Amino acid sequence: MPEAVRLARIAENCLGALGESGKATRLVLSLFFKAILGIPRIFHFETLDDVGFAILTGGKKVLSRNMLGGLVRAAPVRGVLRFVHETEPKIRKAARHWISIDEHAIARFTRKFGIRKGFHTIRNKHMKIEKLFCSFDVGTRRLLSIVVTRGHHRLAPLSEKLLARFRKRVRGAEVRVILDAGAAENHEALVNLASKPNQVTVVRTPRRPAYREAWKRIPKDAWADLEEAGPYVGASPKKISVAETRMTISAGRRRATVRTIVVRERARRGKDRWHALWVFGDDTTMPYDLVREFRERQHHEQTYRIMLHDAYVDTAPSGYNKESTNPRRPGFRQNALTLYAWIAALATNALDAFTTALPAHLLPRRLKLAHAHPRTLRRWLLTTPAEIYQTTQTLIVLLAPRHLRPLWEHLAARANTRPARIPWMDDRRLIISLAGPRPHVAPRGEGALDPTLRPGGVRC
Amino acid sequence: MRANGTDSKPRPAQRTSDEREARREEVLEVWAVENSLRLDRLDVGQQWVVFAAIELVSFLSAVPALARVVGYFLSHCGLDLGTQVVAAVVGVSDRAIRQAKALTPKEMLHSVRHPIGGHRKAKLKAEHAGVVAKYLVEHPRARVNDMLDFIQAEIGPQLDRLTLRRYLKRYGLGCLRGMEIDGPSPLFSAERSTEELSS
Repeated sequence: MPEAVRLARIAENCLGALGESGKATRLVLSLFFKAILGIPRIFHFETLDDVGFAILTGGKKVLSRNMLGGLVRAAPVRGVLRFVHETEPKIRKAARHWISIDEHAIARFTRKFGIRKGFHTIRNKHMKIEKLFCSFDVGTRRLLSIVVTRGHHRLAPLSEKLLARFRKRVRGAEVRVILDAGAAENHEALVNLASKPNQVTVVRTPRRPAYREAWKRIPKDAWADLEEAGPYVGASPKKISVAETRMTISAGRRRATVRTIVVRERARRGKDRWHALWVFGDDTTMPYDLVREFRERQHHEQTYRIMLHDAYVDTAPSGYNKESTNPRRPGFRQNALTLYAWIAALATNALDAFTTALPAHLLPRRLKLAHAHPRTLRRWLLTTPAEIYQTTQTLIVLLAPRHLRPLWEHLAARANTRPARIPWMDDRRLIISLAGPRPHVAPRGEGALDPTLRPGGVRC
Repeated sequence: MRANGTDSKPRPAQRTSDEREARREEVLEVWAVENSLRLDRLDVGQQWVVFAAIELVSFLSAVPALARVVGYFLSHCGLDLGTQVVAAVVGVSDRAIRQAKALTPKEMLHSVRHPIGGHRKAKLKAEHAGVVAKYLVEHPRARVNDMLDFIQAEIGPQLDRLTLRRYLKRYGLGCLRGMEIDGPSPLFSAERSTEELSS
């Protein structure tokens, strides 16, 4: 709730142009709790009549789908960009920062509008898309910022834009940038990106037949054989060989020599798998350490997966103008797509921060909730039956938890020590209360707003 | 510093009975005004004991735990000094005196040896507000005693009326008038919208 209160305050400052006071708050809170509770689409708001959800989103009734969709599209672009800027997570103070930058494609199935195409890696096809580019702090596993574009934009130039923002915030600390192979499509852009002072850039090398033939010619004595843990407990170890070489790439008229780490993964059957990394700005770190550093990028991919399947970022409103008089060139506006995707990112960050703050000793032995997926959190914690009581000073939420009673007691005591004040409810204090213990019921399927999961309902 | 078994400080001169009487009247008058108490409700014997206690507490002021012990003695001295009077002597709340009075001598000694830092933990916590609110909604005509019985049965602690009053007031759940839980019901209901509650 404190995060929601903070967002509401910033939204009123940045998106005040939406009209009478409260609209910006309702817009941002609706999108935030939509992502937290896993409501897939804006048009699903048509059937939501939950009073608790209405209170969370700043009103007596849930916004209608038309109102919410209209507000998202009406948000001013500058206000949205300011909102993104002001809600970016704080960067911890450190001498070195690991940052991953990657793109995510949102498919657009339109025949009417001639929007730009790009390569959708998951669908493995060239199609009409819009793209999100996010920077990600590998150390804290938080999404740091976002840029949305048409489908034809490339990773390297957009990384430059995101890195420029990031460099200002780290105040001269060393930045180690991890990029996927998408950044290596244009060598000139990549070399320009990597040639910044106090920056190390590690990029996955595109897997091309010519490159692989060259790697096969590396002399045998240059390879170091290593063993890694197998895919499961008790499995035989995975054998890999790591070698270091230098490759020449052409960057426009120049030719640059790049340190390259080649990894050959010995296949149990069939062909060996080859991976390689281009490393700019670091000639001293051991090759295998760089490989392990690069693998941390997987948390970024995992966060995209959570944003896609749990926060439903792919249902974001389109960036192209559906009211355009020229469907062949409908134009592109960043506002709705940026706001929707960034709030989904903030919700993902908030849920991840929540899971890491949960005390592990209050959980059953086999249950680990640190970095748990949102749907796991919803199943165990968020879909808890509750009754709401409102007084002139307080909003009392009486929860009847079916699982994890000790954890709930801890959370309630922590929340009530310094109760959050809810500005859109006349500064009422939020008091979390627990009903008497009930017999254990096995967890049921997901459904944050499934009425069958709320036998107590909301008292109103 | 001691020399030949006597203090180096000069001992105060022994006061006569009249002087002590004058001193008692003077001290008690100031004390009664400061604490909004009526002296005529205390008989002479009680006044003397209160006077002695005030003098002792002022001497012990640097060690609050000992002042609490004085309060404990006064509560059990058999002179029927009310908790308000004892609280005024010791300089704590009536509630603190009531709680100390309820302790056994062993418990009192333990509390002096191992004082609790900060406030005593509340018997009824914020987490219980929902249960109390639900009871009030489901039993709109409940009296204070019903409420206290419910709390003891469902939550556990045994409360007095004053504690319940304070708790209900803190969370805006109602106010006590006599033995009724009274006033406009502050609980949210279908008939009363948020705006009505806010105004």
